[in-house]
Amino acid sequence: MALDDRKTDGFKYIGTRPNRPDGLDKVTGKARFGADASASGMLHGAIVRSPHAHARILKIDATRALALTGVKAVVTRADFATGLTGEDADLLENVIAGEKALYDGHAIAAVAATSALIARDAAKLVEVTYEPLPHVTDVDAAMQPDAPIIRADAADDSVPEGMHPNVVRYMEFGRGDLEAGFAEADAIVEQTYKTEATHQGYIEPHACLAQLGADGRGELWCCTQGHWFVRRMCTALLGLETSQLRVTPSEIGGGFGGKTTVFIDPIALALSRKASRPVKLVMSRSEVLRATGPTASASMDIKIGMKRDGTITAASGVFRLQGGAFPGAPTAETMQCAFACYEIPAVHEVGYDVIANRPKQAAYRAPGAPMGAFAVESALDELCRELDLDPIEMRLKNASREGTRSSFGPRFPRVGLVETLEAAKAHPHYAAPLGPNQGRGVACGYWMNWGGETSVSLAISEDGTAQVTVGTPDIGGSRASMALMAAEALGIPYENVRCNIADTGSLGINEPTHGSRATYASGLATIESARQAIGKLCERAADKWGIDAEAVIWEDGCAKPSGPNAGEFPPLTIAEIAAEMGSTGGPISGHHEATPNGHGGSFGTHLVDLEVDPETGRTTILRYTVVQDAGKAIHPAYVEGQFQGGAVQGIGWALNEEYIYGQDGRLQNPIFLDYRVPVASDLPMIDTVIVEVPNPGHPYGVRGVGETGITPPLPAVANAVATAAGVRLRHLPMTPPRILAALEQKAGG
Amino acid sequence: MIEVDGATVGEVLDAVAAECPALAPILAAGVSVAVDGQVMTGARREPVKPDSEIFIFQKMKGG
Repeated sequence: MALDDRKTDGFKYIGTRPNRPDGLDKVTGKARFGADASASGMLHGAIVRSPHAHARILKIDATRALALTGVKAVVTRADFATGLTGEDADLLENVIAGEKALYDGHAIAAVAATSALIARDAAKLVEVTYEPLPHVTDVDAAMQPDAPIIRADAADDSVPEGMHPNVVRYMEFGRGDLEAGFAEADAIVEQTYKTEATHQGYIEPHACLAQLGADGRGELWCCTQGHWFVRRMCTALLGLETSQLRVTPSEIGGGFGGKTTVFIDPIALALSRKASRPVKLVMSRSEVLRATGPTASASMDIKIGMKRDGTITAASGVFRLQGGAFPGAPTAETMQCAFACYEIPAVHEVGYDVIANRPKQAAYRAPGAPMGAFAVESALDELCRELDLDPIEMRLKNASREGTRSSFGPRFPRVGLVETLEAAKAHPHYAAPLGPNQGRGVACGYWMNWGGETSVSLAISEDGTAQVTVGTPDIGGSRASMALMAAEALGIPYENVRCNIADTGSLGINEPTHGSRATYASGLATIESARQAIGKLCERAADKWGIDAEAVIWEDGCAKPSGPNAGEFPPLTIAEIAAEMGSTGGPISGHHEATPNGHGGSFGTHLVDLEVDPETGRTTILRYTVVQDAGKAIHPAYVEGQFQGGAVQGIGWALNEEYIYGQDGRLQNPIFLDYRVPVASDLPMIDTVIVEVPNPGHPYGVRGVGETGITPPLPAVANAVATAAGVRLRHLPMTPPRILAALEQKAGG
Repeated sequence: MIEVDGATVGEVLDAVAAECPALAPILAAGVSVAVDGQVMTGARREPVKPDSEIFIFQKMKGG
């Protein structure tokens, strides 16, 4: 895409911090989330879930459930499309089991009844006969020769012969002379690191209201990051024509990647089709944790060589990720991001996508990147300690910059890692004194960001205000950002722009709000839509003045003659032109659709101080600073919120969060009481520093900022624990029992 | 190592699929492509220069 009119300074509205347009509705309870939808004659759904990690389904008998007063329909796999292939087949298999239950919580059948209570009671009356099968939940165990085979035909052609069928995809890339690089090194670290599966922990459980008639036409209201994705997936799984289903997104209480796919929506539609009534389905927290899409768990072998002066000479990594019982673990992303922060002359990476008896993983904020960062940034910290190097100076010496050939191949365009390292080095945090049992950690991270299919419309109203219609649900403040960009382009106040999220019947296809793309891609399309509308506003002014449209310019929300030769006319405001548009040619609007590819990656550097209690193993975060490149911060408060949110989720991943499976393969901690996310009282205020290295691929220089922030916390916290406790933990989370065990092992010699 | 000709990303991908049939289903399932450092998708019509550097990746996904 040619960006013929880039602007990187002199902004009037960009960079300000106006009130969020959705704020009042949210603090007064008026905002409508997924579970707030209702319809006349609505039924309530409940899902029958597998109590087994792996079992053959011998029989499903719904006789007793259907006999219960108030029950209107029961659906099983037989009520969905047949003959699906590829990702759609996997999606259906995950939404509702076919011949086998593949994990604890796998949906087997569903019931619709006149109340939620009756539906839940009826679900208990559906009799399912299982033949339990051997199971495996650990990624390394799933690759062993004696591991139970979960799905015999899940592997693709990339997997070398002789590997266990649970290995479903193999990846390998690299360059340079690895042997020579390691021979050149003064120190080499070679270690294995592990991370456990975690959940996005969004506050709002999945919820939807579905209405589908026998004529194949339907409507769906749901909380989602991407309703066009929901439409495509649901219609595929139900055998419908795509355009016959209209999907409207609700307000969304967090997603972080976990709401880019479907779990309950196709089931609600199937129940509605069978019962000929609207059906509402709302997940419990336990269902969310057992049967939505947590992230992958990882086991990684890292080897890095370094000279005495801190120069990295060679690096290799083997990355094994399990993403549940289906292909799709983000192994490729782990590999692309793991060494991306550094210029390394010889690098080699191998990756395995492995299946296990767990729920199908979904995207989670920079999917795959935090695991690789944990392994690589921990190994680098170990080398810094061995060679007595300052961790920021070592990183500056090797940092990727414009022209650096990345570890995964392409050369980087203009990027801002060096700027984040310099800002971290200069921050008072880096020089602050530490007390007993305290330690400081440093780590960097990267996410490549995303463009994606995007369609936006902007319409001028009769009073000269503007409405922007986008297709990317607002999770992190994108409505405010769109309004700011439209205001800047049109030269009208922020308050004069309203941004709406359209349903699937109102715009062309939009990818979800994922990949840190909304402010970048929908923002780019908003600016281009505004520029198109400005062209029409200038034409109307030119007609009124009787001059050529090329002789009219747009400044500060007004059409003006471009110079003395164009004639002398007083400026026409947008309100004046809009007031007459009905009689001067009709509505004035702009529209832009594209798959923009100028998304620039974002690098970040994090600092953390913490204290480890040697008696209990408890870690307390004392101080935390996020430094990240935003390209251009459209609404700095929202950018800071993204930085803080990423840091908090990363801290949780590092210290407490994990999916714990028992010997029986069942999830042991499917409630927030036992699945421990950080809460406000666990944390200090997260300090933020916004670095702005403009992205050449956006009209205002925007880079996505939503995901990079979760990548450095895992290693930053681990590196700080290594100083504070004097023990290196290479397995996350670093719970008090794990830290105590490491301390006891150290004390025992 | 294979050598293919093409004036656009789409032509290069088609030529790779023709030269390496085993890659055809992987390419058809959707890939990300980097041309001279810029990672892109849905970019079959993007022009490539004779000296352009092209990398093909598994289609990326974000959260």
